[in-house]
Amino acid sequence: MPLQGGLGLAFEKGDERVAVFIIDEEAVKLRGELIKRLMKASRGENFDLVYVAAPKLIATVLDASVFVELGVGLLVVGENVVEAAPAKKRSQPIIGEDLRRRLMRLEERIDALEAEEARSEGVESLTERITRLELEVEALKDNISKSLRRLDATLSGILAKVNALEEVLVSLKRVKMPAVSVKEPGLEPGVTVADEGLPSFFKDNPWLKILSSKGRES
Amino acid sequence: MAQDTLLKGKGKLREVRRTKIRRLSVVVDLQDFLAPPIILEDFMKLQGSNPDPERYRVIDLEVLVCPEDSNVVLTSECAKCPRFIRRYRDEIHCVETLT
Repeated sequence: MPLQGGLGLAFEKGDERVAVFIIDEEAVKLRGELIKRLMKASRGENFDLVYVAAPKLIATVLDASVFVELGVGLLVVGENVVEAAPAKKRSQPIIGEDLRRRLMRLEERIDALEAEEARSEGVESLTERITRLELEVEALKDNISKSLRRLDATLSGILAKVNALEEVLVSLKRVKMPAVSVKEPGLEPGVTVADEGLPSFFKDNPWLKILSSKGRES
Repeated sequence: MAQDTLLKGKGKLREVRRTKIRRLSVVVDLQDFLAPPIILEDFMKLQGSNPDPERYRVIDLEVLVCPEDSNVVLTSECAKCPRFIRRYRDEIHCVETLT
């Protein structure tokens, strides 16, 4: 235990903390020092038992009754150490009403701070979740825009093909040919291909006649 | 002289003797060394005034009759005695010698 001024010895005995203040000849010569040590001993803060140790010569001057009244023990140091006055065990300092109120206020403030901290933790978790969701939304947006671009490209391709086909169709429609009656080798004369359910452009198409004749010629 | 019992070590009971201290204020003449030191009260009666500090010194003495040998001793002399326990108010407490 660290020793304060005038405190000669301090030790613990079980749960009890014991302090011994020494009143030596030096302290007697400096009267202020003597009074200071005695005052410190009488206060005996943070100790359960407080003693004053004095040599015999000084003990003949010190009135032991004062020590008894204050509850401070007196040890007379000679050939042996005699406990001239026993020390009374000091009760723990009673907390005043003002201190109790201040303590309660502090406890309330600590509770409020703890609650606020818990709330801020909740807000933090919400913020984290929102950030995570934002990131996910961003990723989804990227994916969707990529997919849209792919779809757009595909549709453009399809549209181009459709347009080309339409153009072909239109060009084919523009060429209006008369219906050609094709005489198939096995068919009866007068029966045209158009009559057989062929597409309309076969109907009255003169090329068919030419082509069919060419086939026969070869 | 009063007596108490004190429980000492090894189960032996020893008497505590309480001896009254007497305080004496003695006036000493610094100019006449042959003049006997007298008690302040007597000096006041004789001279009718307080002692002049330039000539006289007032010395306070604390004395008692030693219960051991019945000699008058200064209280400070008790420090030399192995039987001394403590000073308590205007008494000196000491233990008797074991016979």
